Amino acid sequence: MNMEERENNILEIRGLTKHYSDFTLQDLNLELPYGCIMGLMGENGAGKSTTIKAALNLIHRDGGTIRMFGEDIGEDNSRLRENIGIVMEGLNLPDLFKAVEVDSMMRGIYRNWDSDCFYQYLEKFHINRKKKIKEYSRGMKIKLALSIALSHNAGLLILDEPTSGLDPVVREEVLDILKEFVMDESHSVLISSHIISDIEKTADYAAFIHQGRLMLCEEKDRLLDEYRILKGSRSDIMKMEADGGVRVAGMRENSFGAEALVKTNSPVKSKEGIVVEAASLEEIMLFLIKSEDRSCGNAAVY
Amino acid sequence: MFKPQFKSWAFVLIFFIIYGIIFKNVYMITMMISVLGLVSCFSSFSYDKQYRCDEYLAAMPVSRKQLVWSKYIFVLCLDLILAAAAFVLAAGYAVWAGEPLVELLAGVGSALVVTVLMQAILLPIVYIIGIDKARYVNIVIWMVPWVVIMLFRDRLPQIQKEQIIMMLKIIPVIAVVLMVVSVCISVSVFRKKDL
Repeated sequence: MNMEERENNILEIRGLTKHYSDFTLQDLNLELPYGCIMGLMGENGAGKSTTIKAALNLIHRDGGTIRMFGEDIGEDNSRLRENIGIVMEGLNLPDLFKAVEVDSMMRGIYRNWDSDCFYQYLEKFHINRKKKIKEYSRGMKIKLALSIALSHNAGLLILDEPTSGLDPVVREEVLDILKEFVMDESHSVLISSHIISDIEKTADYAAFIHQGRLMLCEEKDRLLDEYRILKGSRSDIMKMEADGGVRVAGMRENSFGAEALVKTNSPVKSKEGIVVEAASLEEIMLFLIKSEDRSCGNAAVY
Repeated sequence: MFKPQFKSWAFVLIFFIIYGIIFKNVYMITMMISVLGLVSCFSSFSYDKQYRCDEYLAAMPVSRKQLVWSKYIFVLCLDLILAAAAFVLAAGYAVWAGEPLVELLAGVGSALVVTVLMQAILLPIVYIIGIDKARYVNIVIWMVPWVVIMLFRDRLPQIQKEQIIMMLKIIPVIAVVLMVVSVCISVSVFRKKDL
């Protein structure tokens, strides 16, 4: 399939709905273009893993469609899964396995399994192939899982909380591998994480999920350009909104004053009594979540 | 992955060999097939749950049907290994003690068939309710009839030799048929399950 023939998106999720007894993932829409990294963010229990499991066909959807590489995913469409590299939270293999047993197992599963590539990644990540998995640190287990995901010519990597519990050095290594992976524009990455700073460093697209609903899905750089934090008094901030140019998306107050997340289409300058700062992805997410909780009547202490 | 299991099996085998020699009762070895066969069956599901292998493998180019089939083939292979070990021990005992070999081998074969029968019933239960609850169900569905039979054994009709021989011929067929039905049920259940 050449560049003209394939669709623009490697992954398309439309209207994804999944009901559990105490949680509902409601009407989720996501598009992941080729050559991009999308960060799926949200607090614990927001629905990130549910979304990923639905994309991998591990759970049955109550509604919606999911297409990968231009085809509908289905249980019998195991051919599609040849092109997907997966890293779950941790390494889901028996811990008595050694690298040679992992290689032997994967050779029987993936048609395009490349043993040489696998062992090259083990060398690159300094993973001792003679040790059993139970003797590896958490970081080494994640790197082994990545080696598996990268050794069968996958076009799409799906990672569910891969950096959770890792030290900053290993997290940086993992993120660098992902950036290297998408340098080939036919590759993409979908990574879920509650460590927002990792997403901010790596992702091209950011998607926020909160209580089963997609709150935002935009280009990361555009998000960071559009949102600002205003610090000052509540009245000054509201006056600024009334004057036009900014729209308050969320506000929190304390005894020192107010902080507001504002959306703007043009540069915002500091005025007397108001300080303008760049907003990080984490701040954008926290403000939007608190604003959402307040509008739903949930307890949200500012 | 099952190397530690094989080590514990070896200890169990040694125990039953010593028991068999001291008490001149080799039939405990044939009973061992059933016990270890069921234990290893449960152990494999426990490992899968502990390491979340099912989730990982189901996300790979492996269909759920293949996952179920591989589990059944694995369990049956373990049963055959156990039966082969019991066969060797029974044959060795028969030669050493001068006991009739055919009878002992029939005991090994019967134990194997009974194990397969029990697994045919249990495996779909594990897929339906999960390994933790299935352990309790396993105790109930085998212990309760056994207790009832033992309580009322004096009132039950005596099974004649001809009836036993007929059962020995029919039960393997029943076991095979049940296994096929069992696989179909397990595949159907596992396909619908959220992992």
